[in-house]
Amino acid sequence: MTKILNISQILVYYDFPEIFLAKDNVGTNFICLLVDANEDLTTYISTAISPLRLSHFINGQVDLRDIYLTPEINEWLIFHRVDEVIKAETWKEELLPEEYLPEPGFVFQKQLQGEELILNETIEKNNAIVHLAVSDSNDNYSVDADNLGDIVKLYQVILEHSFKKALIQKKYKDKKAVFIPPNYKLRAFASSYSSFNLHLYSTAQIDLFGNSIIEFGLSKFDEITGEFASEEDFINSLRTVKGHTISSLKKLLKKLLDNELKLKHKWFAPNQEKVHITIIDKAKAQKIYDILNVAEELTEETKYFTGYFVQVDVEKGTWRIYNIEDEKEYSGEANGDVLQGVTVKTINYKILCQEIIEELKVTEKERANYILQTIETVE
Amino acid sequence: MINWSEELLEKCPPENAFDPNRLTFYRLAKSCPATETDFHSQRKLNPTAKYTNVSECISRSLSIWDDIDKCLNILKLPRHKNKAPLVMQVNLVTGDGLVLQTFKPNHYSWWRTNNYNVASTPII
Repeated sequence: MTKILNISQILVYYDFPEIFLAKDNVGTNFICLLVDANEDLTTYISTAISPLRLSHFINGQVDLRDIYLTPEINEWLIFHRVDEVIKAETWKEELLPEEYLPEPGFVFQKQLQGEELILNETIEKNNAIVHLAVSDSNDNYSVDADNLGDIVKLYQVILEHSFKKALIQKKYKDKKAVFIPPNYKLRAFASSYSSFNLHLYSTAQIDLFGNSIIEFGLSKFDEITGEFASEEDFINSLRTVKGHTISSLKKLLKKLLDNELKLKHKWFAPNQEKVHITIIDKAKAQKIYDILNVAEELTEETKYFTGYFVQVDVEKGTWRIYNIEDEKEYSGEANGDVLQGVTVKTINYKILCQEIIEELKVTEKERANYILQTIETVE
Repeated sequence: MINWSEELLEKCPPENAFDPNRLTFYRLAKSCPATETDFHSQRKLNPTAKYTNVSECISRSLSIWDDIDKCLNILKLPRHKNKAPLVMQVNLVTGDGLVLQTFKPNHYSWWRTNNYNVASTPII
């Protein structure tokens, strides 16, 4: 009998995918093990594996040999090609030969104690999982709905901007194609009884090596809210995300401080070997908040626009430019005579602005204010 | 002009691959001393193997680990378990190629140049 499988995740790679996961058309997981590779063909042996046993394997609690010696369904499959789909045939013998079995003692990785839940969710969603736990001073496993809503919103904004900044630092070529909402937005799907613990999953694209691209943003969030030994190094780290990320982080910290809330940020992704945890308690929130208040320039950002001026008022020092890259208009202010001699509509310019993020007091929404710094004509 | 040990496609190695100058990695060996066959990529070993999740560029690289225990763990898998437990210590310098961390922490893909001296690879 032929079973059609689709490769879903490579677990161990050594010149070839040595162990990978595949799914059949009803979503059952199959673990696939390379048993031979030569110039003519590759041979894999596969067996169905339940989510529970798979999570035990991923979590280093089950020996690979046991999975093949005592399969949950007494059936093995064999196949030789891994194209778009895998056509696996039933292994017709009663037992697997010793040469097809791994040696005792192959465990996937060191055991992650007490992290089965987030690990299982990662396997189920095949993407990054975030647990955002919020607790107040009562610590009675509930939290004010308004506070929860605000914190989740601010966290999402920080994640979005951290992701964007991290991508720029990684020198990604086609940023436009990658900076799309599915890659940085999270979706809530469950909660659990540990403070108020919101479970979120990512739908971000997984790269060739099994990394979920949202990990850039998640790691950045840990970096700017984690422990730090030197204030100077921490400020340097904050400078990598200056602008919207910092202004939203300030708001988040203020929310935590004003309402005596504690935030626990935990995440795991398919390709990770450890669960990442950052806790922002009152002391840490205050420590970071104080640094952000001292280093005011962190909320500022520089921005380039390239395009033609739609309107210029030299006397008032105001301008409006059509930015070719995103096909939007931006307006701002200019000091001194920097606008003197600028031609409207017919000449393209590249301008450098200082972006200052202001908070509108009533709505708490942000507005970017652009102060023109330098201007040059472009072809 | 870089003299790669096998033919690479355009945009391979990826642009984020880096120069592993003075870094040490580990790779399994079939025999001692190491020979050219210990440095065969997937594509060299099996010209027709194709995987949905593995690019042609990766299939022309060599797997190396920066953690010897993770390298030794591979010896428990069926394809490697009957091999002698020989591990090469791959000491790379500028000119030996480019590497990129791929798939899992501690695992790297190495695009080798002919500059790397196979015969001088220590076996441990």
